[in-house]
Amino acid sequence: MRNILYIILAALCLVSCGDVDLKQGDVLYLRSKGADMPAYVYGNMSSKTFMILLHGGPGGNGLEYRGGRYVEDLEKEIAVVYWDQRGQGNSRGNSHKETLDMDLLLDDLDQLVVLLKNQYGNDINLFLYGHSWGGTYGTKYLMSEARQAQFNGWIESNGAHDIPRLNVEAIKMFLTIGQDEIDKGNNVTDWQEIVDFAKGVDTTNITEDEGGQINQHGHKAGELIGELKTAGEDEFRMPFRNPSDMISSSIAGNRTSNVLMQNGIEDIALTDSLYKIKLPTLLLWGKYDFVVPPQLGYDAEALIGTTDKELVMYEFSDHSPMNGEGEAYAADILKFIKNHLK
Amino acid sequence: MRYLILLFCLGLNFVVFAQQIQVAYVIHNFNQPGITISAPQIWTQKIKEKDKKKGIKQIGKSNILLPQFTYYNHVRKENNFTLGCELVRQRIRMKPANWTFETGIGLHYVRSFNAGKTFKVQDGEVKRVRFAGQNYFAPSLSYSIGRDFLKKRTNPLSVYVKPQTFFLMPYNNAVVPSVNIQIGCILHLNKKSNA
Repeated sequence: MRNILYIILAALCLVSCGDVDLKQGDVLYLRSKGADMPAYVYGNMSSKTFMILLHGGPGGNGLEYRGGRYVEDLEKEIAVVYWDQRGQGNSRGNSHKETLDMDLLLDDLDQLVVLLKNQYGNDINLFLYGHSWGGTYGTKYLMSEARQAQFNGWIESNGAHDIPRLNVEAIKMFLTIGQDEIDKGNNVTDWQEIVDFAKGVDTTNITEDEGGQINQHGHKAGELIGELKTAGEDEFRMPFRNPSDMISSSIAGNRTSNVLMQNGIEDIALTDSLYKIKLPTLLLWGKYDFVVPPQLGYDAEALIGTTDKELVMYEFSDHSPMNGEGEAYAADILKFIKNHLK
Repeated sequence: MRYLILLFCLGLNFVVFAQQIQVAYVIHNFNQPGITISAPQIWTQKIKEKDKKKGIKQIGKSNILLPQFTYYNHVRKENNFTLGCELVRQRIRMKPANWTFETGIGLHYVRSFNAGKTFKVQDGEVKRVRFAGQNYFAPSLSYSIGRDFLKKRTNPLSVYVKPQTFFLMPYNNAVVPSVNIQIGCILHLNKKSNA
């Protein structure tokens, strides 16, 4: 009996241990068209500078970005809004399958901007940041001048603003870098599998299924590059009591992702429309990003319709430079933000 | 609202006439804390005795209705209240060990409240939405192992461990499983409730 009690007490202690900063920051829920979407606001709110983080996926969540050195550096200086998009992360509600499309997502972001200005003041500095799928979302959002007027700047990190093009560029990278790695004798079996796959893809007619496989091989290829910097063990913290709900987040996120794909996001190609973005822009890319190849970053650098733009290429990173080169990543973001305050 | 009051009265009725009260600490999805209170109502019960070398062995089989109320807090996500009922098949090895094994199937109403202020934007104006949250139905499956450590029951207390799986629907238009692990004790209000 005593042993059982000890086990129960140990379990109680374990689940009582939480993230030290659970009580810090704000949680604002935005209710819109059948969904309640949480925005977790952490960091230096007195700076009056807010960065809305559009997470990747679709199917990811905002808080999965809240880990590591880069976040500590960012949150010291500015407030970061980790927002869970409709049907993803901790968002809840029931959007109709037919209406769950890009237009609905854009409307959600409009409302989030109104909410943040209502809560923190119309005079706040507001920056938009998008990583991966967040880059698609953010670029699409900024196609409107009225929407651009709400923000001080746009930060696109490894952003998938042209999905058909990224598939083609990924195949090129598989073939060139893959063959180099095979020639060097690095992970020959794995690279051979990727190169063989790439050779079998008709880049003039890439199917949705092949797009999914390109994405999977892209993540795998990034892991195979030996010279990349990876996040140190001390960079991530996974508190026992965590707002993220991995089970429901992944199941609901997958479903939302599938619906968005059925409703046409795979066809979003904004390269030819990048000139519409007149907002100061910072582009952040990993040199070995096989998921969203650096060529999309070079395209954006050339085509975005402002002279106030900069591309930073991280030499030792893949799809997530914030993990391996977090210190430099945060410094680049903060430098850009400080240069574009009102 | 009246349906909720009706459900509450029904729940209270079960508790008042309960033979046992189960109170458990809940761990939701392996990392969020909560509490469950349930009041089992024995529906049918059979007890068999077998002569063994070590003495008489008693085995009981019962069908039990188990009204159950659960609360858990998912930090910065939601406060979640669940009211439901399980149909439980219980098997008890009464003598000499006093082990209890249960399998259950149930249906629950789940109401969650957002753990944070909720707002909606209408015509450019921001309005607060109070008591915002979601409603779900949730079928459940459970298995429980319990033990009464006091053979003479001077102190009517037993303990149990019960993993319970809920299938929340509709959750973002999907069916989402969640797991509650209960670590609890049983207060025997009626000494005949567990021989």
